[in-house]
Amino acid sequence: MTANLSFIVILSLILMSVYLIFQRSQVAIKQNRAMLLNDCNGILNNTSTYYEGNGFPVVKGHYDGFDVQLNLIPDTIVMRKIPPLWLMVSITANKQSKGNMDFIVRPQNSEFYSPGWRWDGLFRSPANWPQNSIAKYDHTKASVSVLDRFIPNLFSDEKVKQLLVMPNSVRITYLAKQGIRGEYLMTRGAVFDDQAIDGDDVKKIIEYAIAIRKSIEEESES
Amino acid sequence: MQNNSMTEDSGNHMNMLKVLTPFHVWALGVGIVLVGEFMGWNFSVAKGGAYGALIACWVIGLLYSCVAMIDSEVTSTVAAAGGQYTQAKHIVGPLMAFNVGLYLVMAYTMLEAADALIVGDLMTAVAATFGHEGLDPKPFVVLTIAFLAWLNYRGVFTTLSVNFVITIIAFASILVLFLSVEPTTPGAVLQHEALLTDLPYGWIGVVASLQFGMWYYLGIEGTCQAAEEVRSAGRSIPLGTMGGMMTLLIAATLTWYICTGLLPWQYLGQAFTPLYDAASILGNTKLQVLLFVATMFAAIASANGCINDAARAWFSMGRDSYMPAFFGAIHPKYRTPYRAIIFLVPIAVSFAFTGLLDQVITFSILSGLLGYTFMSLNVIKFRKMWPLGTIHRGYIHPFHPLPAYTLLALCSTTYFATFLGYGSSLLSILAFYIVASIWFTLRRYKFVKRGEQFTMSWPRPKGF
Repeated sequence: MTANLSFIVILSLILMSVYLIFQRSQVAIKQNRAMLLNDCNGILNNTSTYYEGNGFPVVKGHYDGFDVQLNLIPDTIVMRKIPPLWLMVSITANKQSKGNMDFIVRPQNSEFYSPGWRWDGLFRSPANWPQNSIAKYDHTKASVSVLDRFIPNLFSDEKVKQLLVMPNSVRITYLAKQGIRGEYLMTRGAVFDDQAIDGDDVKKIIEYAIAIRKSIEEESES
Repeated sequence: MQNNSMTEDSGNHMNMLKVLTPFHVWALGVGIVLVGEFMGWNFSVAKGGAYGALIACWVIGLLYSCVAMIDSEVTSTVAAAGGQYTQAKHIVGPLMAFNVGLYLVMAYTMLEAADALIVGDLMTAVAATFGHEGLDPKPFVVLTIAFLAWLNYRGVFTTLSVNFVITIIAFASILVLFLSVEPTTPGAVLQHEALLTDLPYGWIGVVASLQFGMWYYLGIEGTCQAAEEVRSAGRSIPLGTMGGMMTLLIAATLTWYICTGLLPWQYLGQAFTPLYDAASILGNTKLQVLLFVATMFAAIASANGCINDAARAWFSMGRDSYMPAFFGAIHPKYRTPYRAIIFLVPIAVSFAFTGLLDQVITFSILSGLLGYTFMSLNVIKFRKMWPLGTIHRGYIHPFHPLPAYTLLALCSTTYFATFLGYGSSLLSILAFYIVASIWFTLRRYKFVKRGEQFTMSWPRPKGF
């Protein structure tokens, strides 16, 4: 009887401890995630911030006459890969343009944030673009001559993963962080350090995206 | 905006050195394969006796050392994650990639089924201890798989903290048990002198035990993973994998030492939960509770990782059109491969319902073994197509082609070992992969977009 009771008590204590540790770490992780874009608040005008269910912030605002959105996506989809944290910098168009293009470097066909997976158009990247890449379009290709002015320099930063050009937007996907290796190997978890993402890096990406959008719209007008 | 500002800063971006700490090295070993210490390895004792199991442990350690060396070279060169699956896509072609993807899915799903079986068996054992004989384990099997599938469906974020804690408890329990049996005083608790026998079936028994010797390490090659940026892969991948192997060898030797000193080999060779049984025989309730919790946790943690990996492999096959694109979808809110997760649940449950732990483990081992066989042939082809100096390699494994031939020889011996004890399982799983390959060639190959499969900027291979 005593053995039965002690078994139940010990088991209950262990389960309760696990639950408490779990709850505490959930709160800590959410707090950590919430401040990841704190360094970016001063970059945009008229900013508004809200938080997704998983605790990652989404920042909206204006920059140089364009609507800008910053959001973060942890990528836990690929098997046996340290989870990256992608920063999506999205610029909403002021004027519609023609064509689209999805350009991804180091593709693995598991980029779930990319619409290009379902697109049939595939074109060979020009020689001065990164070659370990895939470039796709749907029906009508965006202006390659415009993009050619930006892509070689933009992707010389190996943290830049994707450039998505749509008729009503431009989006750059940028490697903000990589998960902690040990955490991933042991738990398959996506755990990132608690340092806020460098605002200067984000500002550069925003300016790049806006420069691309402006050039596309200027060419559409002409 | 000045475009060159991007270029100037790129140097800083490349300083993302991913340094392996001792914690990481430890994590490499225990995180993926820890459950192998709690169940499965002991079936090798039934084949070759206690000493036979130890020999199998070390011989298969050599097999995995070859796996680690070869996989480190290819993974650090193919700058993409996905392990052997991605390698097969780049180096051999869609049919091989389809098969390798299937090996991974089957190996992990069968392991998941074995883990669920252990949970069910433990619950039955505990119920019997409390006087409730004959408790049906099947509801616990379904509950375990369904609960973990739900956690995975909701996303890794929900599961990681629990997984971390339970893995630590599981590893600590082995150390506590080892210290409890007074290892420095032979004969006080451990009875090796009385229990250890000669090889009961001679050397053919040792060969037969190689099959379950793989259980100590199955999945360690999963550490040969890549980061998005792989500059440090040349150092971290081989170091991490070999570090993990050393950790496992130590843990495996401790487990063997405890169990063979407490349990006769005839019993040990057919036990479902050897470490829990070893703790039970000591008559110490606290140890028994600890090992119950640890075995349960290790099985659950392992099953959780298996659902994660199997679903992602299945998802990738859907994205690559090797399987219907339906499976390539991700959940709009949780961003998980939810269709792949749900699809694999009934498969795992149906195998777990057989109740045949050794058969389920054999299916898992054989799927892994087929992958290692591919690896040995793959690296020979890889070195021929792109000889040293033609492409950048993060790591060059030494003594090529000796590790490849050693791996091939050890894989062949292990097939023979499996044939000795589980011939019908061996033939049926080979038949399964042959039928699946025919189906792929006739029905799926036409959907594969070959132009999108090869994405490395390598020169044309030699001879093409």
